[in-house]
Amino acid sequence: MALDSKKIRKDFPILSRKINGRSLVYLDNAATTQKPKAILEKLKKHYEQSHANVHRGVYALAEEATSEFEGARKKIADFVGAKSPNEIIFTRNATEAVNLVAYSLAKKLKKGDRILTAVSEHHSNFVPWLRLAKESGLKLDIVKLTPTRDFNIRDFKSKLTRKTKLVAVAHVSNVSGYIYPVQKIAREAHKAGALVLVDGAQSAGHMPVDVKKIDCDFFAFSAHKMGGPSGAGALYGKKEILEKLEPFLSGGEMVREVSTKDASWNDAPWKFEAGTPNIEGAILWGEAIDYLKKIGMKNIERHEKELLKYALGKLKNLSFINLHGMTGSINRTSIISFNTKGVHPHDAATLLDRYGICVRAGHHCAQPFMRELGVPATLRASLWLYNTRREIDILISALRKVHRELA
Amino acid sequence: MDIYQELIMEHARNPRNAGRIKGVRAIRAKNPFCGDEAEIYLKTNNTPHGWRIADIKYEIQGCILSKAAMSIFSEHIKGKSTREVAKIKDEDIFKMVGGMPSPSRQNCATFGFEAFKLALPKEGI
Ligand SMILES: Cc1ncc(COP(=O)(O)O)c(C=O)c1O
Repeated sequence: MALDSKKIRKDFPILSRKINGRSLVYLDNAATTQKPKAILEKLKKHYEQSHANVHRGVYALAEEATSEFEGARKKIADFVGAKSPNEIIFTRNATEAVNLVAYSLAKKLKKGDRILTAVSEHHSNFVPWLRLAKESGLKLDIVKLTPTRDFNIRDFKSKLTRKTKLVAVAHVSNVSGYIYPVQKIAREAHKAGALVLVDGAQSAGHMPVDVKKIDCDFFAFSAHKMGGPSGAGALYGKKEILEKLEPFLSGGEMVREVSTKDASWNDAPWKFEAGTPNIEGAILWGEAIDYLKKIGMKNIERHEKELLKYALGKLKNLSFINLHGMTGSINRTSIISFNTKGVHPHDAATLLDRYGICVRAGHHCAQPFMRELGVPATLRASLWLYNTRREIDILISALRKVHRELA
Repeated sequence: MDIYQELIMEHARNPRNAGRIKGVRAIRAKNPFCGDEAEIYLKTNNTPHGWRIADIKYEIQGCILSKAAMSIFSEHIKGKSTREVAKIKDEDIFKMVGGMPSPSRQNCATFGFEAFKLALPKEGI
């Protein structure tokens, strides 16, 4: 079913505002997405009707808040295909989810063990491993890119060894938009006896996700990249693995019994959730998921794919645009990184802003990837369910003007 | 401030003091915000009036504002005493380039200056 853009755009109040006298054209969805008004209404309702701390009180209001909070956990679990809500740990964001695994796993790894990641990773799924390797005497192996800047599965296979204890890769690259073959990666990794962490920051919210099908051990993602609030994220972890892992942070909520001499841990996922969680963040995230489900993840995926093809077709026709070989639309979400020949990305982005267009200019927290491309920075347009062909046309015509003015 | 005003565009198109100085070691700097890079070549002389900037050249890979600011700054400091240039602040750079850029672009204006600070010898300040 084609998306009803007009109707959807009405659900996102910010899209009707003006920037520099022009209609806002928001193309920075990989950084964060805009919010549907359903979650605003939910916040109002929650604060006006159901707010209390969770898991603590025995009074009705606390039970209501707890049930909303745990209900959100269930919605999130279902959204990514987890077997049980207890496989979802709330975190602040995808970054914290990755760090949780790094810290908790550190205690299980020993000198000489190896971690395998890719050169294209976001710093969030790269720096924690770099650091863990340095601090614990582990070896970090890094998968290269193919000539079209895709995940190099052959290189991956050649670097996967019996010593590899963890494979950490993105589901979707935040620079190229390519969907990595995570199912295949997980199968190979498990054969070699390694655990698999998938960074789903750029996939959840753009396509149907099923962690069971991927068969990953961990899946990290953020609410704010899929219509939810910032400050809420999650780590999916297979139940039997979470049970074996040590807690990350300590304090209230994550304990079962505390004496002056010792403490015992709560069950997963709560043993990983020290302190009062982002209660309203989780609840609003659940609401955003309800909204996305109503539209249908398959429909969103199809809409983005169509826009991607349309945008790539137009960009390929501009002689002054360099797509760095990332021209394919197969196995890809709607993220497009490119450079405007003779114009620095920051200058281009500042001028595009004059036309009301928000695109990202920079290294996108993927400096090793930039080094592979041979540029310090790129422009990046990233789309979502509310973007339209008309907005792509506005971008293309503005790019022509920018190039004329500055190159 | 409009970043793309005449002064900036003119300097970006015709950067002053761009290039290298033979026999002088380059000091490299990288802008952590955007990955832009610069190399500074700095020559100082000990004169009867103290240490002075005898010559400055640079190579910079960056946006229009960072290139123009580097050019304007290099003109500004040439011949000045190191004591004097050590007192320069970010605000002075904004004045030189014709105003305060929006928050996300301020680091572009000051990048050359930051790189220069790495190159400035500590003696005589
Ligand atoms: C691929 C990828 N991983 C991880 C992250 C980190 O997400 P967050 O900042 O929400 O933790 C991002 C965000 O840009 C991303 O694109």
